[in-house]
Amino acid sequence: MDNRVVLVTGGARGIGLGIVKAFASIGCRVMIADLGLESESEWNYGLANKDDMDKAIDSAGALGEVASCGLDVTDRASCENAVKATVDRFGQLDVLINNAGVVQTGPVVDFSEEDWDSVFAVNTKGIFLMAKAAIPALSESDNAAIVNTASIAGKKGHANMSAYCGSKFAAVGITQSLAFELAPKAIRVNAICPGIVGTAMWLEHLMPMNTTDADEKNRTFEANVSQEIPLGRPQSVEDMGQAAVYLASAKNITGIALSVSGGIEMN
Amino acid sequence: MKLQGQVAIVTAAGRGIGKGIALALATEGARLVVNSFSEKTLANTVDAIKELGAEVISLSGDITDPLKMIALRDLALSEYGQIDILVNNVGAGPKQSEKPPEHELGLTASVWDGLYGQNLKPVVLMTEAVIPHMKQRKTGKVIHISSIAGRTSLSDKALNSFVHPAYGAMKAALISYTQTQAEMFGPFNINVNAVCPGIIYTDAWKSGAQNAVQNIPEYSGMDPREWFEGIAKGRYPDIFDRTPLRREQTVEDIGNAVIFLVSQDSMNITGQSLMVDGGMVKI
Repeated sequence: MDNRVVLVTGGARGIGLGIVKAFASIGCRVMIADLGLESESEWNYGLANKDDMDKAIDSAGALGEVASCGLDVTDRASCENAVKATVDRFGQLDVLINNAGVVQTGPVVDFSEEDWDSVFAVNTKGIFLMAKAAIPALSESDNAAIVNTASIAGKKGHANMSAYCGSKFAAVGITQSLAFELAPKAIRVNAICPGIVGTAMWLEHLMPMNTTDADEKNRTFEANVSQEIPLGRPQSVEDMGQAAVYLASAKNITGIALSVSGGIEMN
Repeated sequence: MKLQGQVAIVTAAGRGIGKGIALALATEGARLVVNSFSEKTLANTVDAIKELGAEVISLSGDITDPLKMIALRDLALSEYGQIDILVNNVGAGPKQSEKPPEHELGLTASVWDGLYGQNLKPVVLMTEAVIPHMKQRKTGKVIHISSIAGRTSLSDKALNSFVHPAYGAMKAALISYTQTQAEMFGPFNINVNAVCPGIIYTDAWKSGAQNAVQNIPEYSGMDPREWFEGIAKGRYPDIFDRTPLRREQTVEDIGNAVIFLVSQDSMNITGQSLMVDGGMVKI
């Protein structure tokens, strides 16, 4: 994997940053692509701002060669620019990690059409736009791979999560379809399905919570973890980094959606 | 090295996939405990492991015999004091039964019994032999070698000529067993996963290829190796599904998959059945 060039969308925080660091620490050159917002995000929890981008560059930069660029995966021109910025900076693109994702939850009768569109725009259309932009560059590589961050929500439905589950099932479907489509170009396409990782998405939104007290939040998180996960521990961003590295390097694996969930999801 | 000092049992490690797994574990610094039916093939594997600079002990003989399983476990414990990794690689296609019962279901019954005895029962019993030790230490990694045949139905022609339906059924059972064990032993910090190899040119497929060029009229006279290469290249669409990556898999692929699944890199992956098949089965 030495010297390979990896582009990670949603790479400034959480799982994306874990993936960035895993590749950087094995000698890959990594482009961190994320929103890098100048002002407060209008979403239901904080998305990556400029400060997050700077911190990501600092922490991942200590492990290997990284750079960053702004990216909104719902915007075609922005996706094309991110690919161009990567090739301009590093001369090639070998691995695309479609990790950018957002969540919104709630019963369908109360769920706004705007939120539905936003979830699908990032989690589903984002993969399409990034793949479309990156395939020409990936086709030049002799061992290219795409890894999509889906979710265990892409394997089983949950109440109040129609938009998120729908978008992640779609991510798995796109993974399989692209695996077929791109195999003749020697581009492998796989997905990881993270379980419960204590990122902003989980702690600030997914965990049902009536308190802002940090200790109580942690206690609830730990209780959820020990009840729901056979291995009895939460997953980490490092787990996702290692899984992505393995899938990017496993030359005869394509079209799979690997659950990294401590056994929550087994199919 | 990812497995420095860890002790790994690999069954049926004399040839093919089992040997590939044992060598892969050795390159990562594991201490190996290997078994094979044949003394001769086992000696080859032991030599190859030693050439890599790894420690190894071995026990030849029939690993479908529960007493042999117990002996293999006890050998590992007496020699190395611990077992960190168990790779259940034992498995085989149908063998000619000595003398099936003479009633109309006799042949079917003996083939199914035989495949159960070769593919499922020895995995269950070997795991039962090792699990108490792993539970006590609250650490362990168990890998079952399943198959693409455990995840999908093959074509009628493939089932008639190459893969008995009972083989697929036993390999599918291993996937279920992987999941139930992952649930049961998760609280003891034991990860249980399966690897599903695709089509690899081991001795089993060498004889499959031989069979194809001898017994299927349209392939008559072909070189067996060339015929085999045609599977991944998609030349027999009425027998084998497409392999999107158009290349055969290797024992090294399976070794790498096992290394990933028994290393710290996958500490939070359990209950999974990892397809290493060039995309033939899409799960």
